Amino acid sequence: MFGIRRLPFVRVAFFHALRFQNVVQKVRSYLKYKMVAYKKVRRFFLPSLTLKFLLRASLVAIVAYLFFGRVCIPLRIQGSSMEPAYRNGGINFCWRPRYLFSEPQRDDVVAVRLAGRKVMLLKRIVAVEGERVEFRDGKLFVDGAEVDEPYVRYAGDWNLPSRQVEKDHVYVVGDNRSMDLEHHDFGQVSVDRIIGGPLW
Amino acid sequence: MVRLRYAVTMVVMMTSGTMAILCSSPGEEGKVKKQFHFLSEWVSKDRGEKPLTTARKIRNIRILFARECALKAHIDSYSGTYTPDEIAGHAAAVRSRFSSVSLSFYDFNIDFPEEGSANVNVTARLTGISTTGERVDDAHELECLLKCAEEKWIFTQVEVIDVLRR
Repeated sequence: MFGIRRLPFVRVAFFHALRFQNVVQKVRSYLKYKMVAYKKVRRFFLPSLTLKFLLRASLVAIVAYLFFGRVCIPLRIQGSSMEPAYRNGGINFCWRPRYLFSEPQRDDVVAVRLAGRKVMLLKRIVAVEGERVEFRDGKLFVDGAEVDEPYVRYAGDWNLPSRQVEKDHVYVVGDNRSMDLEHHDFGQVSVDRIIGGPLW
Repeated sequence: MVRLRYAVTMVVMMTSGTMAILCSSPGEEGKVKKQFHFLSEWVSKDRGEKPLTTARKIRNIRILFARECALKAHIDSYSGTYTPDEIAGHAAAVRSRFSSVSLSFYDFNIDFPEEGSANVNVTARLTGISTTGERVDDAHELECLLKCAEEKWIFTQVEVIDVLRR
């Protein structure tokens, strides 16, 4: 009877001991996991300066420099001539390979370089070489036909006599036509000066 | 071993000394850029600039230009030949129209076609707020010709390139 009574106690004690051991193991594995994670995070932010790491970091720096300096140039839009499509203060990228295998088309938004790539003009092509451009009461006419411009939200009352776009040139204008004609930079530009278009 | 250490130290010191001398004495390109830097500094104006500072800047602008400096622009009324005093006068007139104005130059392409002569292709950007509160932001490509006179580069010709032709 006694044995029968004691047996559950031992079993319970054994069971509790096992459970405690289990908890300890769990805590240990948790702490081990934490340590591994901590080490990984630490290694990521404070890596040891091995030759392999330095080579990898240099490679990443060179690739980033070439990519963001030559291929995909970051832009900060300043001015309101392309509103509402591109707002003053907006951030974008000039994607240079855009016209690597194709010619600029009408309605394309393009980046026009000045002396270099630090200051560029962002404009929309409204006519290509050989076409005649004209503004009548703010409406655009190309080769005598009125052009529908859904991107123009701020219309103006511009009047500009008809003129032909020269060879290897395109005619570029900003979307914001509410600006004074005199204060708006537009006109025909050599295709060589187009260095790409905005990424979005 | 000690001799080797001395030799290495000497080589390092000589290399760094040579580098420091080369870096501290700018070449002709640096001197040309410096003139643009001065022009930018003296044309620019902060809000609430003191009259004495204005006078000093306007006086300084004169020394950057040759006795006869040609300006070519797509607006015919601006084209012509100007004396340093006339240029300084125009600069003063432009500055007076702004409460704050900043002239900056970007993308320098400098070449020296002959000794004592520099061709500079550059982007000039003028930003500011007029006295009427209107915001101005204008960028133009310039082709400048500078001549070296008495070891100083001075502007002899400035042409505004017509990038967009209406």
